[in-house]
Amino acid sequence: MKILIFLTNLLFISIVHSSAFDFENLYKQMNNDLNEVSKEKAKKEDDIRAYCNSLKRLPFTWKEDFAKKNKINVNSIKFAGAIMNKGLYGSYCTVKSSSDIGVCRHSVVFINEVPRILNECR
Amino acid sequence: MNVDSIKIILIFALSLTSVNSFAGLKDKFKEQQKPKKISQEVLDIRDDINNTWGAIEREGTFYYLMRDGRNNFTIYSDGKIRYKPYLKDVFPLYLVDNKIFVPLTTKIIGKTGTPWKGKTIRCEKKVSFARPAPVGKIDKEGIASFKMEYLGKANSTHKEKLSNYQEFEVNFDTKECYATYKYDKKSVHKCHIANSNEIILNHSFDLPGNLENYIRGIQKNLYLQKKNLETCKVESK
Repeated sequence: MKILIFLTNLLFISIVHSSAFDFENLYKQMNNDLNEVSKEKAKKEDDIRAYCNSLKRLPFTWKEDFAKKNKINVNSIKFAGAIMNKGLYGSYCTVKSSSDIGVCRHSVVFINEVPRILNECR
Repeated sequence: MNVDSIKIILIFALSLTSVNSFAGLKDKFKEQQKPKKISQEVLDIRDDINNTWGAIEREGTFYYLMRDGRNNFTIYSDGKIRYKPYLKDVFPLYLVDNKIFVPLTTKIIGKTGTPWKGKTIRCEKKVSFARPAPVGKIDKEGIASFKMEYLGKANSTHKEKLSNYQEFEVNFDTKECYATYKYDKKSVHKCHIANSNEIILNHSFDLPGNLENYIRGIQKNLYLQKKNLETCKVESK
């Protein structure tokens, strides 16, 4: 009888242990996922850097919008460089322009992987 | 065929077209009202995320990690001004099975998607949940040394402040806590660690805002909700 009780207890303990959540495995899986996220983030940063370095002039349609918004002559808008910056949440690209309103800095945002230079002057 | 009969035919044809277009919109509206199906794979991942948080909340302990704030002053009714230290930048972490997890806010939208246990979830409309980000383990001496590299968490309003930190050294038994700033690695600052019961009992902690709302906000944002899940897809590697 004692053996039977012991075996029942053993079975109960093994069931409890087998149904326990495996936090060690979760720790590993989440680390792997975050490594993937980091790789993806690094790839994104490379794309932003490549775009930033390739910029040599401002798109004409962008110039037209900027001139219209600020009521200035479109011909006064000149490309003054593009630089990569390091922020709290990763790297980002800033484009500089010089025009009748002075020197402006513009953020570059990526919407669905398509770059867009914002025409707000900072 | 005279002019009148042509007119009648034309009117009849026009009315048929408008009835048809109306019926088309009606059908479209009906179609819109139907609940969109969420794929089984997406539902499985949602269940897995939610079961994971369920297990962490059930088997783990919820702690607050706080840094010392600047001296704050309070004007009392007698008109005197007294300075007292207050604690700010409260952010949560879970200690479970000697492992530390921080709720990392994860937004899924667009082409990139996010991984979950090796699979990738992509959603057309924004879906968010908190990932249990593993930050460190407790060593044999009972000390957990970890870097807080992940900037998101369940309550994103403290995101920026959290990023000021670089390294932590915490003893969960003695409640000793030391931290360095991200931009000032040389100086070490004291920090504080407490579980929810301790923080309520210890009146020297002057917490920002309403503690209860704060906890509710954190816990609500851990789980993956059903909203916009119909726009999601799961891809296996």
